[in-house]
Amino acid sequence: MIEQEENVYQKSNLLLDIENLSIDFKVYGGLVKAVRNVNLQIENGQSLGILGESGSGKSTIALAILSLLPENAVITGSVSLYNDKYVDSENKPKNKRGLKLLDQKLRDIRWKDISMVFQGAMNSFNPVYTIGRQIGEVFRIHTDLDKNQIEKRVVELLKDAGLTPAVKDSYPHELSGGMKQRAVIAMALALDPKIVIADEPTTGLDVITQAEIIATLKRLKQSGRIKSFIIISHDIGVVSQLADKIAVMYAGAIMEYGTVADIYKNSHNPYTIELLKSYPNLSNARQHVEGIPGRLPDPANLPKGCKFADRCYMKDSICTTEEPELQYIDGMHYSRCYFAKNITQNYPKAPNFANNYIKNTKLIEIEHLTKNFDLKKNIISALYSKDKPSVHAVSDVSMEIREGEIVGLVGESGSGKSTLARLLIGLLKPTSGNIKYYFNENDFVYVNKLKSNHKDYIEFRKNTQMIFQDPFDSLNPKMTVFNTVSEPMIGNHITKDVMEMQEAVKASIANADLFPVEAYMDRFPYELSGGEKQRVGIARATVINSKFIVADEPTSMLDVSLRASFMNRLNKIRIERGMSILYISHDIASVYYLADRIYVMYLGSMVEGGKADDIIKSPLHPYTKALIKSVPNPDPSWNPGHIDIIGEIGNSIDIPKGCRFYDRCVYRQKICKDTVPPVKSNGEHWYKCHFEQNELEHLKNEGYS
Amino acid sequence: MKTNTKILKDNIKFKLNNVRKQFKVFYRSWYGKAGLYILIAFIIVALLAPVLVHGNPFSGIPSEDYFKPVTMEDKKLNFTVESSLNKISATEGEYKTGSYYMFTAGESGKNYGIFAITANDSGSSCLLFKTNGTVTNFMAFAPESTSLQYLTDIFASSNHSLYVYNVLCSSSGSSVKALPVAHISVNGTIVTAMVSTNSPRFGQPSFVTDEVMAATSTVDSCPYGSYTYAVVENNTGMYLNEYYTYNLHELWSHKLSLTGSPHIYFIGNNFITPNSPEVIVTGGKNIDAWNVTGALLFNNSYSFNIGQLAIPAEYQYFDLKPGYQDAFMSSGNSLYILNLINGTRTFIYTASHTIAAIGVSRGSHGFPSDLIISSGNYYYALAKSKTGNVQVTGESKLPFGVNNIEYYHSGKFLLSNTTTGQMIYLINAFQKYPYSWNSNLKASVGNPIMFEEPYSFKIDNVTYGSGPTIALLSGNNIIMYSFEGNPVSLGPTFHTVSGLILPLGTNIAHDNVFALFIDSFPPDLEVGFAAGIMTILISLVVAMFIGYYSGMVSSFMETLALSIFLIPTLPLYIVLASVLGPSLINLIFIFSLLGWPFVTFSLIGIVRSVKTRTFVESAKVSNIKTLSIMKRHFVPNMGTLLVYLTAINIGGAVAAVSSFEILGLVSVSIPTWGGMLSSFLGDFYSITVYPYATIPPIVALTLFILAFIFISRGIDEVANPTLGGRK
Ligand SMILES: Nc1ncnc2c1ncn2[C@@H]1O[C@H](COP(=O)(O)OP(=O)(O)O)[C@@H](O)[C@H]1O
Ligand code: SF4
Ligand code: SF4
Ligand SMILES: [Mg+2]
Repeated sequence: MIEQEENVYQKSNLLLDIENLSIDFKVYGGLVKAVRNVNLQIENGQSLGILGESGSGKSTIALAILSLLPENAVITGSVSLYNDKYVDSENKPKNKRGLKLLDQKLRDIRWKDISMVFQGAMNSFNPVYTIGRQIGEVFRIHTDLDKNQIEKRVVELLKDAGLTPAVKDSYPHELSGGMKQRAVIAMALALDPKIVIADEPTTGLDVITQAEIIATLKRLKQSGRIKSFIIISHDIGVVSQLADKIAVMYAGAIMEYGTVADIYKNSHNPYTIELLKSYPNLSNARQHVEGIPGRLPDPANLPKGCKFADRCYMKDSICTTEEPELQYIDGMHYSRCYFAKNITQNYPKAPNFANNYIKNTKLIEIEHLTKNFDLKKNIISALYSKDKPSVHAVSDVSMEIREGEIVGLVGESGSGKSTLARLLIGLLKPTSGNIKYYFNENDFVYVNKLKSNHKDYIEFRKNTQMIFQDPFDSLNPKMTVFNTVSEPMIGNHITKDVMEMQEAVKASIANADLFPVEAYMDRFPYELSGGEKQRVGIARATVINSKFIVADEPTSMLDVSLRASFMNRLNKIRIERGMSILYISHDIASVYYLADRIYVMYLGSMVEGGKADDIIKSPLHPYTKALIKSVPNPDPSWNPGHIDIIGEIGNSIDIPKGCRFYDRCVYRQKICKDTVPPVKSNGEHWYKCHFEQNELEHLKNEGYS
Repeated sequence: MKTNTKILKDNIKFKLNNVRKQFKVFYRSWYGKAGLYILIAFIIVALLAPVLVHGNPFSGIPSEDYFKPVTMEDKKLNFTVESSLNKISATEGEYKTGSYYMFTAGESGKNYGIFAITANDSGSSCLLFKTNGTVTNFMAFAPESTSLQYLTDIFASSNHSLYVYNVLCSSSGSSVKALPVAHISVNGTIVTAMVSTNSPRFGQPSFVTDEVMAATSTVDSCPYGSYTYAVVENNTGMYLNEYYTYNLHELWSHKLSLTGSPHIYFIGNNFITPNSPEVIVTGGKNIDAWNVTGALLFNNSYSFNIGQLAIPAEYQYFDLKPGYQDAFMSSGNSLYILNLINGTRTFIYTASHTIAAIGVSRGSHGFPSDLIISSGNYYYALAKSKTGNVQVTGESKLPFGVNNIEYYHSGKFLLSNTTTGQMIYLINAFQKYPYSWNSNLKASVGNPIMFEEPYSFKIDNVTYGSGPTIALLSGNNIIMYSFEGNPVSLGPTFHTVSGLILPLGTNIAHDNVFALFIDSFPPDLEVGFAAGIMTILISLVVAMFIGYYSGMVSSFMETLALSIFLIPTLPLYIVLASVLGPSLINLIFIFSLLGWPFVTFSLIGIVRSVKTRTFVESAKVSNIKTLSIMKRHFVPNMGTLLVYLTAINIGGAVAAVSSFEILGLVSVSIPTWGGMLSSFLGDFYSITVYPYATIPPIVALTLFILAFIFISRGIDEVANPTLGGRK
């Protein structure tokens, strides 16, 4: 898009122009090439999406646009706003005066012309000031509005961002994540900037919240409140919803550029194709997805030719000699690949999963399981107050897990998924209810009633393993892979012989797809990528022949291209060993991809359960419906529109007496408030609500109060 | 199936292999390597410290170098002294100004004979009587009776002649004359000759009784008396002859079966009873003993050459009896007990070098309470244990090789080297700092003569006189010393009286800075390591407990730690130190006891943060026991901080010792680097005079602490991701 573009664009309409931008970071031991020769243009009113995995240089570009790069950055190239080059490596200010002028200019540009929603900004509010005051700060610095005017503007902004004006007097800790993110957006809108840069604006938020934020941003854009957008994300769903053009980044360079349709429907780049392929997708049902093999190249030590070459299915000898230029495809579509014009698809090699390996025998069954955490405010009140406040993390939950089955558990964060997992694994003791562990069809024990040194309990322990959410936190940084993986063998006294242990660990590492095995044995976690770490987690969980694994959000911290292969590996092990897995995630698509049955949890209570297909294709509970509707679809035609749900998940301390979903249900009636809803079931598919489907339909049509 | 031992072996191999791998990484880190080497150097120095500073923990400078004897006189004589033969006339070695003379053999213009020296300020001397050649031996003995105190008898031998003279000294000491008593020529050459008499004050008879003197006039009526013995050699052999001293009348003559040069020794009850006294003659491998009547008591030949024979003086007074019959005999490196009754010998000790001199106390209560030998540059004090074995009970390095030991009294000895003219006064052979002073004449001298009675004199308006006096004859000089030491101003100096070179000089307290520095290594390392590691261990256990568990006990512990932490430490230290006493062990104990709260608080935070890490939960899922979780997961993650804290603690303990020294809570006799520095506290004089003394402790302290910081860096690299030591 370099030369050819000149005539396409009318310069007058050109808002932001990034020319030949390269950014290196000087680090101990070399140069990190974070951004390499990037050219991007944004026209007035246009939005640009930057898509890429973490480390591909997305945030660095955003910082360069705001000229906020850290000291160790070396910039070449230029960035201009309305033809005014305010970042220019050719023409740096030579004296103090020049610097001062540039500084002044940048201060004007930042926030007034270009504002930014920083990655994770919602967590950087100052906890001692109200939200209103912190948003007002923008006006106090950049304008000379008086106090009343500022307050008025703040209220307007909050409304724009979808918040009630009352929020202005709240302190950050009083707001949920979604509300804080909205406040950040309000702040970015404050001075009517021409461009809003949003760096991973929904990362870390729950699906429903994410969908609502996307909807809000979309609305703001449509209404012209946001003129131009640069949306940065690793999630194709988010980017394609908000951008007109997408730049796909890999190893600091643009791999492909084009309209959303160009990229999503008609990609001409192997990396993009592979990346898109790694997202499980609700509409694709359970079609096999595959991750991209290998890992991102080391930005301090990039290979010579195409940076994607060692992971590319189309690689040819030419690819490793020199890096390809961006090739023009058609319209605004460019791709950096030697074979951009005749790209082939890389269809999955493995067939879709069948699920004939599920046995009908139960392995684990929980009955009316409840867990309350007592909140100790301080010693005195813990001792004397009668009504101790407690967190009702899990309330009256029943479920069963059969042998060889993957059971999915979905729900927003705070719904009690992890607590349930920890109850199942024995890390927590239930307040009431039972956990049954079946040795065979008729022979079971109540594990919650066993002493920890009882032989049945030890047997149960040996057969239950866990894969944790955070691969960075779940491996001891001071322990080698061998020591980590061998831990269950040591703890369960499988063998005392290190040689035998080594063999078992090697087998397990191989099973977790880490090759060559020998090379991994003595590595420390820092020598592993996130995906490799999580595989070590698998290796640890499968090193002894356990029957049951709880995987708690195992992919949420992984890069997109690594998730699919992780899930496939997990499934493979399940098939080979016939083990049962409880797969917990807020990512409904990935749960659908893996699970045979799905349970939906809300605020400590199970609201729906059934076969995966039934749950996804015909959800019955209002909450499930909202959840499924909110999953962003990369298809630009997707529109979450209005999701039938109110607000955000509450806390588990002041829970509604009747239906747990009462506060957020759009169908709620009086009865729901105080009466616990019954289970309505349709064979294996059940849900918990006072109303049948047709009744709900009816209620909806009447409108909700 | 593998056997258990095979499994065990494999496991050990595996573990060792792991340790080796980790050490490699550690060793690859420059910091780790440097730290390790520094630490090893420190430990080596600490281990070698006793050797490096000659065994005396506090004394690089020998204590004797702090004092020197006061020279009373140093006079020129008008004759040349035959230095090995000087004697004193006075009772019990008594010496009084103007009253007594000293006698010595000498030569003046081809005139050989016995000279008298007044030991007073004039130091004048005169020839008493001539002999026909160099004097081979002579003795001066004064009557015991005070009424006859001006009368001295002198016996001398030379060539073929024996002489007995009666010497009259005037009471003013201004005149002296010698009257001949007897003179004979013998048939042969006199090898050595001696007069038997009692009161062998210094192993030699020095006076005769009134009765003996009386016997000089009534020869035949003398029932007992003084006998003179001479070993005479002629072409038929070597003979021992016995004479009455008063007229040199020969009583008997026996042929000797000696192989080397002979020495004569006497034992017995005043030679009053005829049978028990003995005359012992040694020579080469042989020893012969005769009684007064000329009967051979024993005649032995050993497999070795007899060196010196030392007989406790008291045995010479009385009849020999069990418990009072041991003499000490040296031969080369070995020391034997000689049974004086039957001549048998028992081996008791081998020294590392030739035994050059034996010193023995009087033995008035049986086995002598003080027995020392000199060998090489050491003396060894020997004592009889309860079981009857003779063992070394004290030893010390000497600034010079000693070839002459004179016993004074109460365990005090004068050690000298008559060839080099060095002397050292040994106060207590069993003490750590055994010497009082040290002197170096740098000329050969005769056997020092000790006068027991103090000789009062004044030098520079200071009166001396509470100690005994020593006379030394050397060449043409007579030198008198007071036993009293005079403090030597050792100021900051780089060498001592005894000629010792001090590499780092001395400080104002005369301590050898180098010795002090080196001697500080062991206690500093001990206190540092012990207190540092104890503190860390206590803190680690408590911190894990408090951090890991929540509950009453844990809250209680936390409160306890906090209260100890908040109590003003100094008073607490003072109380504890005074209750427990200021020993090194107690110090370590106190430091650890009071040091742990701070470290604990630093660690609790980490314990709590590690506790929230998922891998701890994961370990629980893996069924790992709590204690094992602590070991596997907590300790390694605290590792770096632990080592840092240990380093800080060790440094802190080392520093704390010094402040305790200032406060007087620790005995300053424990040398430490801190102590070396604390002496400069507020002492501007010292800091200007010998600032160099601050450098070694500062360097050592800094390096010591740096070593630990380096090591912790190295350990960091073993386990810490970001430093990437594994590439
Ligand atoms: N201040 C910095 N110093 C050194 N390297 C940096 C710095 N900031 C980012 N990087 C590196 O630059 C590359 C791109 O980072 P970033 O722009 O944050 O990627 P993204 O936003 O796509 O996740 C990464 O390799 C990252 O580690
Ligand atoms: S240039 Fe080669 S390696 Fe790179 S994407 Fe195209 S085909 Fe793959
Ligand atoms: S019971 Fe009532 S509140 Fe609960 S989901 Fe059904 S309609 Fe909504
Ligand atoms: Mg980023």
